[in-house]
Amino acid sequence: MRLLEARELTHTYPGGVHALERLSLYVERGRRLAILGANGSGKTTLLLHLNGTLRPHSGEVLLDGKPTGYDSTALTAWRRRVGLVLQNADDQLFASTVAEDISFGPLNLGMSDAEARQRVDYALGALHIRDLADRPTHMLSFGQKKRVAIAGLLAMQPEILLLDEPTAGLDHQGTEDLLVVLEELSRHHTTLVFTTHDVELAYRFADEVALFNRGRTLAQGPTADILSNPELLHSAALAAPLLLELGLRARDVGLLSPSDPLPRSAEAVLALLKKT
Amino acid sequence: MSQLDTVANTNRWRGKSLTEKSLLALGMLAIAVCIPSWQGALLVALLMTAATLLGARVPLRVWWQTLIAPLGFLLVGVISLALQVDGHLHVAIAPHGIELAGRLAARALAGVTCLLFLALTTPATHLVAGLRRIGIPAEIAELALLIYRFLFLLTDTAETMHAAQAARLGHSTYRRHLSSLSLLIANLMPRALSRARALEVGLAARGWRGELRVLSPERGISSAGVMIIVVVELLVIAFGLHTA
Repeated sequence: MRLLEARELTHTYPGGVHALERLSLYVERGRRLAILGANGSGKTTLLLHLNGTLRPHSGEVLLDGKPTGYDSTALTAWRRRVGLVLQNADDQLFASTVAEDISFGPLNLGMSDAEARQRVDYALGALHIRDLADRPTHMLSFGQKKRVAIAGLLAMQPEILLLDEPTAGLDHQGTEDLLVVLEELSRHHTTLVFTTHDVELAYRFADEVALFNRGRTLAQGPTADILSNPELLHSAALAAPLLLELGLRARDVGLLSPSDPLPRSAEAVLALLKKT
Repeated sequence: MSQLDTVANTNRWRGKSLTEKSLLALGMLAIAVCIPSWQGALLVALLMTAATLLGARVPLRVWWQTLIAPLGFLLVGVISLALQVDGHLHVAIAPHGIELAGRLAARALAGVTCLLFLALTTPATHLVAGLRRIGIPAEIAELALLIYRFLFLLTDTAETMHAAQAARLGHSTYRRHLSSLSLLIANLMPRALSRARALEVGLAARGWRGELRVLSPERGISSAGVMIIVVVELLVIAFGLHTA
């Protein structure tokens, strides 16, 4: 079921930069979609269209198969269902403490203070940041800010969470921790859409990939299908993930039968090696 | 500037109820302004300084650095009140000049310490929430908060740009310093605007429709605290009337 869909979106920035050119893409309920593309391929611009921040010059965005409106009632309903986490967490945080900042979204949804307090608690718990609740937002580390920014949207319990380069700038442990959180969200039926240029991350975490280049979708489909197509990746200025290449080679030489799943982690490769 | 914000967010009395803090600061301010005795005003200054430094544990260095600017203004005012210049450019002490200047200095100092207390112990968002509670239109209260927020964005941006210029030797000579500075100023506005715009997008994504409401943990007003404040203020008034 297509929860959110972009149809033939075109967007030109002042100065004639074509950010999106007849771009189409769909998001199915409960999936984890990676929008994969090089720098400047239009990923962020697309996300800003998917929550109604930007209006396409032509084309349309559909929610549940119906075109969305851009009046304030429609935008409110839209953003209640589709949350957007910006790449730079500082662009989102403004209140003096973490808990106060997280309460901003729920209160905007018209909740009572008691309900909002519950939502704040839920989001703090989901991101494992209860200990940060009373800390001033400008005194957090980069990784902590990122979590607080995500918590701020999570407290609104959107059906879809759009994340712009969620792991950019995070160290190894920060990335691992974030993926654990996203995994939990996904298990609890939040649809996830994230942009990245990290093919390894997309291979490991996404079950579907949309490949981007110069404001267009080159292809969208199951992760392994898209990422195992070298020509397609090359035209998006990306390279195949090492794990996937290993898996495909293993199939070629008969270590894996075509029906076996491809290894998606170092552990899976190790298991494969042990078998031989 | 950001130091002030940090202290407001981390001092020991951060979580104290805004009602108590403003009862103390504004009450003392009113006393300092209304009471004729300069000894009373000095007592207010002393008490408020003690409350700031010992009660809320605001670092002395930050308190002093924030105080120094208004103190400068105060000094200029006091000097011009104490001295008089006649037609022959002879400078002399004005009749009652010292007394007048002393009274003014005591009162102004008291006023400044009261406001510093409030500014250094209360985060800006709490002040805005308080303004809203007493019925100031949300538009005005939020405008104040946003201006406050963007001031930080602006200084942050300027600092980053300055560091980047310095790294490329943009400030190595006086001439270069001047031309780099003009470039910085010219670029600051568009940069700051685009950051402000990004913040707007971020807030809009969270359902912002022109109202910045957050859950401020309004700690219950402690009646003991209010009692202490009222008693202290009454004592100060009594002292002020006695010495007048």
